[in-house]
Amino acid sequence: MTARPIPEVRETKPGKLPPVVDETLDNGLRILAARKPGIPMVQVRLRFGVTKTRDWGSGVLEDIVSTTILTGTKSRSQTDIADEMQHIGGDVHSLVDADNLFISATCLADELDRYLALLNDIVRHATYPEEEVVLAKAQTEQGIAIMHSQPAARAQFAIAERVFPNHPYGRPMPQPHEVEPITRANARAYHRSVVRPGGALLTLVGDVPPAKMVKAAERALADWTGSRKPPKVPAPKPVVPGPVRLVHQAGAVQTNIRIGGLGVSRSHPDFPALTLALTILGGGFTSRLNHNLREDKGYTYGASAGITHNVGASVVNVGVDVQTSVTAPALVETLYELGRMATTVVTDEELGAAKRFLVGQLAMSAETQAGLASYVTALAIAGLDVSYLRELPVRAHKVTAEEVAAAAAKYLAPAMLAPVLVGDADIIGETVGRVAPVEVSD
Amino acid sequence: MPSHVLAPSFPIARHTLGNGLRVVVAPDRSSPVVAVAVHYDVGYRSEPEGRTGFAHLFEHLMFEGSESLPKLEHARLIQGNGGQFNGSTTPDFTNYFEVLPSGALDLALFLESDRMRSPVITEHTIANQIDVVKEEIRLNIMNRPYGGMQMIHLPEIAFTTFNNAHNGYGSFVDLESATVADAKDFWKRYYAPGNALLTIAGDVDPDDVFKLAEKYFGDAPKRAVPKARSFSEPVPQSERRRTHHDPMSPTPALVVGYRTPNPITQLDEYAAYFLLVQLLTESDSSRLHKRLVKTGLVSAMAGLIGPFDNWLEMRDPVLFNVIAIYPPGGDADVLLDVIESTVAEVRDNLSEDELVRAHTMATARYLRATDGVLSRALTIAPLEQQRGRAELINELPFALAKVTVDDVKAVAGRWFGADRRAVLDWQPGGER
Repeated sequence: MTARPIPEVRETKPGKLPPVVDETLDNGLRILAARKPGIPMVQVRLRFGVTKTRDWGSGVLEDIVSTTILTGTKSRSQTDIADEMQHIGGDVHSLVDADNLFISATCLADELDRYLALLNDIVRHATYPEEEVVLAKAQTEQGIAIMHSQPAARAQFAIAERVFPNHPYGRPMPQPHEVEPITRANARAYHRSVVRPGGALLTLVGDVPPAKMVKAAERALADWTGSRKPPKVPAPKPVVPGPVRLVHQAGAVQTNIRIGGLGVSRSHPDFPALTLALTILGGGFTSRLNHNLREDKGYTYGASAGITHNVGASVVNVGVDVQTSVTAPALVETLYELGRMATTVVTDEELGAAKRFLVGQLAMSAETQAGLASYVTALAIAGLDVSYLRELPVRAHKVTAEEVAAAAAKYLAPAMLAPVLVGDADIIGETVGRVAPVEVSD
Repeated sequence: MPSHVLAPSFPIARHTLGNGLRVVVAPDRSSPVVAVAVHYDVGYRSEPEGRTGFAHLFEHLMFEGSESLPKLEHARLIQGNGGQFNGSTTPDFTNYFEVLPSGALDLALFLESDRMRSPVITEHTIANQIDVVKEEIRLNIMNRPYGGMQMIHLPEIAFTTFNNAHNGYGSFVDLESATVADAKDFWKRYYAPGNALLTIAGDVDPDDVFKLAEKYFGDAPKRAVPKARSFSEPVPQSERRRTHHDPMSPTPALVVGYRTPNPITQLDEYAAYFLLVQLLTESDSSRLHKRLVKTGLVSAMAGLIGPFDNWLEMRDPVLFNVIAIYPPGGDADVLLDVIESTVAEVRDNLSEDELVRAHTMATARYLRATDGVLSRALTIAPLEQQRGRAELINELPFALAKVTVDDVKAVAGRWFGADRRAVLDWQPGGER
C-alpha cells in the first residue's frame, strides 16, 4: 500500500446572502422578509417574547398555551384549523421556551395568503376551548412523567439549576401536580397579555419576493392591535462551582456528565475567541474531547462543547454520556481537557482548522430556507441582523492562539464551572467522590 | 386528483466507471456547497447469524483510517475544511456522506475513494469501536425509556426470517466477538466499487464530477459484486404478539406493525399506502389522531413506514408502525380495535377532499426534505440504487397525485386486519 497525495482544496467564495427587508407595521409588528429560491415554500415564524421576571412558575402554563393555541377560534373548530393547515401544506406548530413563544409554519408559497389569514384568526380570536384545555392538561401531565424518566432531560434541568440558581433560566423540572390548577381562564389571560403585535416579530423566508410577502402580511395582520413592553430578564449571578451534583438514577447503564457556566453573547468582543475555544474542545468528531474520550478510550459515543444564547445570558455547556463503570475516569478526562484549554495555548494547526470549521458551519446553516429563517429570527431576537453571518468569519479570522487561551481561561476554567452527573449514585458515588466533593440528589 | 402538482425539477446526470462504480450528479449552483454520498448496497439485513450488528460496526470502522489516511485524518480534513460528515446503517444500505464548501469537492472524492479502495482495520480500532458502539446502544436504546420499540423489538415479532427479525444494532456478545478477519471478509464481499453508488448534489458541473470520479475511483480494482438477494417473506395470516417490560418507561405503550406493498415492484400501490398513512397518522387532523389522542385514549402517537420513517429507503419487506404511548390503566386491545375500525372506515368512506389534503401535506413534507444539498443527495441515492431511477425525486409528487380515492380504499382493505398485524405490548416496570 502506498499513500496517495491528498488533493488541494480550492478556495470557495462565500455565497451571497439575500437582502432582508425589515419593516414595522403601524400596529408595531416587525416583519423580516427574505427571498431564498429553492423549493416553492415559505417559512413563517411568529415570535413573542415571554420571559417573565415575576410569577415565573415552572413553565407548565406556557406548555398548555402552546398545546392549545391552535385548537379553536371564534369561527373555526379544531378540525377546521387542522383541515386548513393540510390544505396549505402547512407544518404548523407552536413552541415555547425560556424566552419565546413561537407559532411556526412552513407552507406552500402559493398558499401564503391563506396561511396568514388563518394566523390572523388564531392570534386575534383563539378561544382555548374547555375540552381542548382539559385534554392538553392530561397530555402535559403524562409528558412531564415521561420527561422525569429520561436521564438526558433530568441532566438538562439539573445543569440549568446549577448555572442559574434562583433565576428564571434555572427553573426546576415541572412536577405533574403543577398541571391540575391551570384553567382555561389562565390560558386566555396569558394569551391576551402575550400575543400582541407591538413588540412581536414575524419572519418570512421563501421563494417569493420579500416586498410581496410583506404586503401579504400587512393585508392579513394590519387590523390586529395591542402592544407589550419587551420582558426584562434579571442579570444572572456568577456561577458557584460547588460540589459535583449527582442526580440519582437507579439502574442507569450510563452516566450523563454535564458541566456548565456562563459565556458571552454573539456581539461581545470575546465571543469569536470563545467559540473557537469551544470548537477545539468539543466541536465535532475531531475535537479534543472526542479524540480523548471516544477515539482513544472508548468511554462514549460522543462528547460535545458549545454555547447557547438566551436573551438574558449565554451558556457554555460541555456534555458527555459514558458507561456507568467509567464515570469517574471520564469525569477526570473531561476536567483535564477543560483545564488544558484554560491553562495552555492551542496549536496554530488546531486554530486554523477551527476557523475553517466555523466558517463552513455558518455558510451551511444558511443554505436552506428553514436554516436561514432560524438564523434571521435568532439574530433579530439578539438585536443583530444577518450582517453577523458575514462579519463573524472576519472577526474569527483575526483571533490569535493567545486570545483563545485567554477566553478559555476566562470562561472554561474548571474551577469556575458547575458539574452535574445523572447516574446510579450507589455505583458511582464513591469513585466520583475521589475526584471531587459530591452532593447526591433524587 | 389535485388541481396542480408541485414537484421539484432537479437535473440528473449519471455515469458508470469501468470498475462498476455508478455515479449520479444533481447539480445546483445556487449555494457554494456540495454534498457527496457513497451508498454501499449492504445493510443489516445481510448480516449472518452470530454477527448481529456487524454492518453498523463496520460503518464505524470505515472512519478509522485508510491507505493514505491515519486514524482521525478523514474527520480532520473534512471539519478542518469547514465540512460535516456522518454515516448510517439501515436495513438495506450503509452510507457515508459529507457536505463541504464546493472548493473541497476533490478532497471529498479522494477521501471516499481511499476508504473504498483500502480501509485500514486493526485489532485496536475494532476494540475501540466496539466500545463506542456499545455506548451508542446504551445511549439510544438501553438508557432511554421506550428505547428501540420499532427498531429492535417489533421486527423480532413481525418477521420470521433471521435477516428481517434480528436486532440490527447487534447483541453485545456478537459485537465483542468481531475480528479483523471478519471485517476484511465483509469488506471483500460487500464493498466492491460495483456494489456502491456515488451521489453528488450541489455546486458542481456533472462533467467535472465524472472526470474527477475517474481520477480518484477509476483505479480501484473491479471486484465481484454480491448477487442481489431478496429478503421477502410471506405476509402473516395470524396475529403475532409479545409483551415487553421496560423498567425505565413510566407508562405503557403499544406498537403495531402492518406489512406494506413491495416498495420496488408495487410502487403505485406503495404510493397509495403512503397516502393512507398520511391521512391516518400525520397531523392533528389525521383520523387516528382524532380517534386516539383527541379522545384521551393515548397521550402521544406517531405513524412511520420503516423503522426510521425511511419509506423511500427500503426494499421489501417493510413495516408500517403505529406507535402509541398511553396512560396507566389503558387497555391495548381497546386501542387495537380503534386502529382496525379506523382503517375499516377509510375503506368504506373517503372523500376526494380528504385525499387532496393528504396529498398536499405529503408533497409539502417531501419538498421540505429536498431543500438542502445533503438531504437531497440522500433522497436521490436509494431511488437510484434500489430502483435505478434517481429522476423519481422529481416524479414522485406526480406518482402520489395519480392515486385515487378507490386506490386508497383498496389498500385499506388489503393490508390491515387483526390477522395481519404484529403487536408489541410495552409495559412499564420489571418482568413479573
